[in-house]
Amino acid sequence: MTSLDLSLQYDKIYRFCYFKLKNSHLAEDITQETFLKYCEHYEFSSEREALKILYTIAGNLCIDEFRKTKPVAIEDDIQSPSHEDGVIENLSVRRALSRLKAEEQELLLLRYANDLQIGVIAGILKISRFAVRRKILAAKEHLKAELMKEGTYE
Amino acid sequence: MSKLEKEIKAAFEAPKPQKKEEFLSRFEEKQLSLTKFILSQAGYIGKLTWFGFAAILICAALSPVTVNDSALWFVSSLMPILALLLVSESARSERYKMAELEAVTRFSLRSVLMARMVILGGMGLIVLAICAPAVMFLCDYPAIFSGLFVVTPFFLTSALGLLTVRRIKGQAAIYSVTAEAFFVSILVLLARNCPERYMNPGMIKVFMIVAAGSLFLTVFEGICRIKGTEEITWSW
Repeated sequence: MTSLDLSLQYDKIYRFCYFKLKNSHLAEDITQETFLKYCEHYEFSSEREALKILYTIAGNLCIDEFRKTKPVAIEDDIQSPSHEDGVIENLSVRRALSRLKAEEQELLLLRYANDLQIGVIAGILKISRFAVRRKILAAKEHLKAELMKEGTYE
Repeated sequence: MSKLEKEIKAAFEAPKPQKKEEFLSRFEEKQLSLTKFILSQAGYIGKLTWFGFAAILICAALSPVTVNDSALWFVSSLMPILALLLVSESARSERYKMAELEAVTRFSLRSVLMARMVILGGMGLIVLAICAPAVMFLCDYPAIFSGLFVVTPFFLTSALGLLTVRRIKGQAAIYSVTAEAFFVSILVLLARNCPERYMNPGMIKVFMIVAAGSLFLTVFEGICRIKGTEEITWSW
């Protein structure tokens, strides 16, 4: 499958599905189905194109799954950072993130958690690069505002 | 990455996937290897192209027996035809107006084109690798002249052909490439009438520059053609 690092992309697609479904078992099943569907129809495409297709398939499968049954968050494991301050900061960022719009959360996930390039995000969301850049900046500003309300951001 | 961006990344951490290793080990087994993919594309290269390659190779191999002293000129004049086969086969999708359709198939047009160019380029190099040393040893002319006389028409026609295919679309491109190939071929045959004019040390530099320039242009045009098959994205 082109020059993609499969292991890394698996983690990223899984994270994307987990963000959508909030259920690790379902997210993993959808991740695997995404790779199988991709391999079945679109082998040997450029890296940029491959990423766009993978996220589109994953997004569509999550929507299908969501329509079938409203997923219940069976587990929402919070990673265990070693320092207490880290836990508090992480929790407050999570809380602040959850108060953002779903679209803003998705943009921040794609850009900062999954390290996708602006062009690839534009391809996935079918909007211009300029719009992606503008929306990410706006989402970051909203997040900062939410964190300031909590008093965890100076 | 700023502190906030790192915190965003940490906040999106998901629980560790449980079945990742097992899935990836099975998934990698299922994937088609690059060699298999390239070989699979060999079957899609037109029969006429394979026949053309075989005919050129046979004609070149028999030339020392059939045309004796003119073997060098004869083999050199075949090289533009070899380049014509290569260029016209690589432009088959555009010729039949199938490029857009092929861009959405299982294997992207870019991968298919790259695989076919590898096969065709490989075949071209095989023919060159057989013909150039053969005429170098069998003809009375100095080895470097003979080698350059075989290689230059091939690269010159390839470069001109790829340039034409990128600029002109459809069947007109193939007519233009054919005209260019025959023009170069006829030039080589005409050069046969006054060999002393071309077979002198002063001309060796000219041939080397033309061959190197054509090779560079061929590689450049090849890259442009492959890049040209990428999707058109909105660019700010």
